Amino acid sequence: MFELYFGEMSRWNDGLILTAVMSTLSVVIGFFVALPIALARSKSKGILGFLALGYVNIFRGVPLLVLMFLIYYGSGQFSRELRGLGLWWFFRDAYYCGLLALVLNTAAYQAEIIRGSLDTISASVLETNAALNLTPWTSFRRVLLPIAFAKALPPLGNEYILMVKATSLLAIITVFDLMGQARMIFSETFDLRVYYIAAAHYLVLVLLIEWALRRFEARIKWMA
Amino acid sequence: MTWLNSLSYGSGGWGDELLHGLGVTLGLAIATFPFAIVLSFLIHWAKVSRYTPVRLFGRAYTTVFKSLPEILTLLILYYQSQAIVSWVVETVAPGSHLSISPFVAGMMALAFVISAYGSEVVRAALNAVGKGQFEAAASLGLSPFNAFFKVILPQVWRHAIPGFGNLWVILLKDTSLVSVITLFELTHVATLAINTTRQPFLFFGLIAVIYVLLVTLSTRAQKQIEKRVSRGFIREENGDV
Repeated sequence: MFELYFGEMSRWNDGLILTAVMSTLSVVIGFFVALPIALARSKSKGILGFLALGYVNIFRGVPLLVLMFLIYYGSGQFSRELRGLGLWWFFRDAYYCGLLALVLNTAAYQAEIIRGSLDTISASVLETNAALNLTPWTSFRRVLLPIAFAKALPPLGNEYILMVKATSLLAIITVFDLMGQARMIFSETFDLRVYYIAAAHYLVLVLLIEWALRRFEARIKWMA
Repeated sequence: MTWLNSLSYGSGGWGDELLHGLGVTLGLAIATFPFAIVLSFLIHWAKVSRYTPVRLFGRAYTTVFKSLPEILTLLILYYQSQAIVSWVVETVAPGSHLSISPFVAGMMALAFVISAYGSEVVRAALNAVGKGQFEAAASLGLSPFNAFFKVILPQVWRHAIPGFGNLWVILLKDTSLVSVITLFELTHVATLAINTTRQPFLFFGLIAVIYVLLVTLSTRAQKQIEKRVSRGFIREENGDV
């Protein structure tokens, strides 16, 4: 057990770092993609709201693995066109494709979370903003967004943990995250304990994130 | 329209294989779900047991299966159960061979993962029914067994349907992971089809649409069931009592 870990320490660490980086990047980028979608879902009754709902339903309905396959392998069918557009460097790379799939997926879930918390902000807050003569943009950026974020933090934290687990699917499209390294080492050793070591990594990582999130939540609870 | 040929039904196209794959996907989800629900109740009871080791087991179970990626759980269960079964067969009847089917391994892994989340749905639903119902049933002289099946359970469903409905959708989508251990379900069929037809976008796009449709239908059905089971109840959350 120990030689499988210490002997391959640098690979395990590389995988751990890549898992942490990919999940964090996708959650952060996904948050900014989710914001306009959540706003459209919450405030727009017209075409924008409809499009946002369509986005959410589609990307919450497609399994992430299928979405990754669709983007990474599916783009291969259009390699000539993508080359013409100068986009091939992006779709050729499993890392970029994987990240795109993760972002599209988490943005749909985060949009619903943020919409939920935007909808629970009481009308009196909006009236106060109007009374203070804040422009809609200032009102959103300085008041609504911070409150919505504080309210949404527990479910967003949950989403972060789900994304840490979801990055493991990157291994299937040849990215060497934690899961990818585990599969690689397993293919060399055929030793099942490799997967238990990977499991221990994920367990510790998730528990650490949960602990950090609880502390952060306690600090901004007053706003929610 | 040459691309339509690759979807035709018969030996030339992949239409019949895809349909079969869809059947396996649905079959896996439908076979797993009842187990996952029963396990959810058992794990919930373990977590509120008066025996500390049982309680610890329940908590460890949820922590582990909620923290591990589903794909890792699946691989570990698949290979580990295979190793155990081979060992047992080898000791009992040397020379013979027995292998775990990907379907069974997928069922186990998905049921464990879903029930880890399901135990929380059960807790919330039982809380919503309230302790008073149990006490009232006990004071009428019902055995705990009868109290649960005749009084509590019929009321629990109404509160558990949104939670279990969500889990059903997650389960439906997670069946795609079992393609990794070569179960002949929708995603795996698409991968096979692409190896010969070289049309990845067409096939992955098609199954993506199928999954979205399945999820949409499920959500619709769930809304209908919710409406049906809450007829005769005032919706408290709107405050319009």
